[in-house]
Amino acid sequence: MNQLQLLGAVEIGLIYSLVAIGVYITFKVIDFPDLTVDGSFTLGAAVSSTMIFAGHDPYFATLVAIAAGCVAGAVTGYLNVRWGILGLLAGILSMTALYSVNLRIMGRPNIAIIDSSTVFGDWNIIIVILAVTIIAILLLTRFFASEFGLAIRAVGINPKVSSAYGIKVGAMKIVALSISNGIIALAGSLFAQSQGFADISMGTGTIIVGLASVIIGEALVHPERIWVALLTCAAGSILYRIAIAFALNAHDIGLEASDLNLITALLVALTMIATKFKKKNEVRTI
Amino acid sequence: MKGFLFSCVMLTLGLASSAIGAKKSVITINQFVSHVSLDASRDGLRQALLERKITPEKADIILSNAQGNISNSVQISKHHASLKPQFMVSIATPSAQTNLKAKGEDSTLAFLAVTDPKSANLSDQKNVIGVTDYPPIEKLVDIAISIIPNLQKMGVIYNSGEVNSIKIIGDLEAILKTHNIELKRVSINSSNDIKNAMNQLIGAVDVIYLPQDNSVVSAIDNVVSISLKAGVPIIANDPTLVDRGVLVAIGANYFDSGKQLGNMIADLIEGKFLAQNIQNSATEELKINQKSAKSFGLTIPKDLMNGVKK
Repeated sequence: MNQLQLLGAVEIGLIYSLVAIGVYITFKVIDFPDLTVDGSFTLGAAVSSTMIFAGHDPYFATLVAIAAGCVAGAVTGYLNVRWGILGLLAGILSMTALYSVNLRIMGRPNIAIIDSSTVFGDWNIIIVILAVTIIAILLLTRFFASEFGLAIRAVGINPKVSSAYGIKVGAMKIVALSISNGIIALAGSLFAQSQGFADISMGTGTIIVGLASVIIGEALVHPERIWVALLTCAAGSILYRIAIAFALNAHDIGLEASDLNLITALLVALTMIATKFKKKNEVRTI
Repeated sequence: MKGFLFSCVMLTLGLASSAIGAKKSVITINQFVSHVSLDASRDGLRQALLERKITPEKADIILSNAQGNISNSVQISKHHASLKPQFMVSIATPSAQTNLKAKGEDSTLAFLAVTDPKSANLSDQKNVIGVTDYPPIEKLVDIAISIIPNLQKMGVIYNSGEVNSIKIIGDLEAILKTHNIELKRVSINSSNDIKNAMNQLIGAVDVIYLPQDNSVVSAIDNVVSISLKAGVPIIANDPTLVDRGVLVAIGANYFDSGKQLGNMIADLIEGKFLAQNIQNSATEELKINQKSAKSFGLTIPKDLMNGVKK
């Protein structure tokens, strides 16, 4: 693997670290298996690309994309909280509906914006995304230390006790889902802008990548503080991309191009197994 | 575990060896997903390169497959660009777009299986060549009119998420209008919806057109068996589908499109100039399924039969 390949992996990994952070908020903080992700990632790409294509300011377009993601997350939360639809199904419903919504927004399945100006301007993509990720982690760390943020975390740990302490469990869930999907839409928006196009199939498999990143990061560090946990999400995401970068070099040992996903999965599994060996003699704390 | 360690060692050795033998020219191929048509175009490309003596001794050909995932495709493009290839081949629209973003100034992007290069921002770019697969819709409509008596309504099944289908169907509708034929569209989200879509069209249309749509083509056997039962013929722009029971198809052969691009690349390597950087597929093949025609009770005009590739 040469330096450019490593930088490429880091760039994509950083964009997907925002996805991992969003997934962490739902899966870990409020313990909600949210599958809206595949839809909201594409939503962010669709909204910002359509607006940029129409000549709007890229910063404004990115903000609108984040807002759209928040709405998508809130819809999932509303279906779950107000109508008691199972969280898994509520997410699937939103994701399915978003496919059509995204097509409506874009008007066609693929929009090219490679000649338009984006939030990246002439800056280095990695530096911009690194800055965005750090700012997101700082803001979220502060947020989850506030009374409101602590209430959200309490809901994830023990909804019954939280409710007894006067925390509105349903509202907290909706807010957390909103924030999560807003961040994921931001990732989608940045991905589309950095690559110069949006495509309706852009979000396919996003949830898997996000979840894998969260779990890889957690296996490596066992974080207890929230800022460490968010940081390990980012690390997990970059590691996942580095695994793919290794898998892409596998043609040198005679593996087929179509083996890519298998090799990636093997490398990730090996990472997980390696952490078990390291921790064999330690006392597990959960 | 031993086996895995062994393969890890092999991997490292492999990486090291690739760093040593760097001086050859490099051609990378970024294929978005595997299916019959895309695989055929890739094989055609490789055969043309071999025929033009661009052998593994002269150029490393590196093939990667994004397995239908765009973030993989982005990473593959960056990976390929880092190898400083002379040509970055991409098969299908998303791969072409990720390659365009990643490629360096010295590399030439060469695309295959793109229907509408203009809206994908691939035309008017420097160092971009390619073979488009824009189908001869007008010819197909003329053939349909000559075979099917009293053709008034045409149905089409397509995935609204596929950029190629959208473009083709828009153009098809305009052509049909000039012939006073009505178009009934049914869109699906995946191959699983095909049966419902067929049932909506059966009885409502005289013939069904299938665009080069990945979701529809994946379910081709299902489509054909329903059409044969209901007596509604199917027409398409992919000649390979005729063997599966489609009545008639005229269009590019993907294998030949791949060969065409391979020859363009070989020309550039030999220092020749290209007449056109972006060309439409040159070969057009007409195929008719006699068995299907018989079961629909249709007679094929003699002059049409002369054009059929045996």
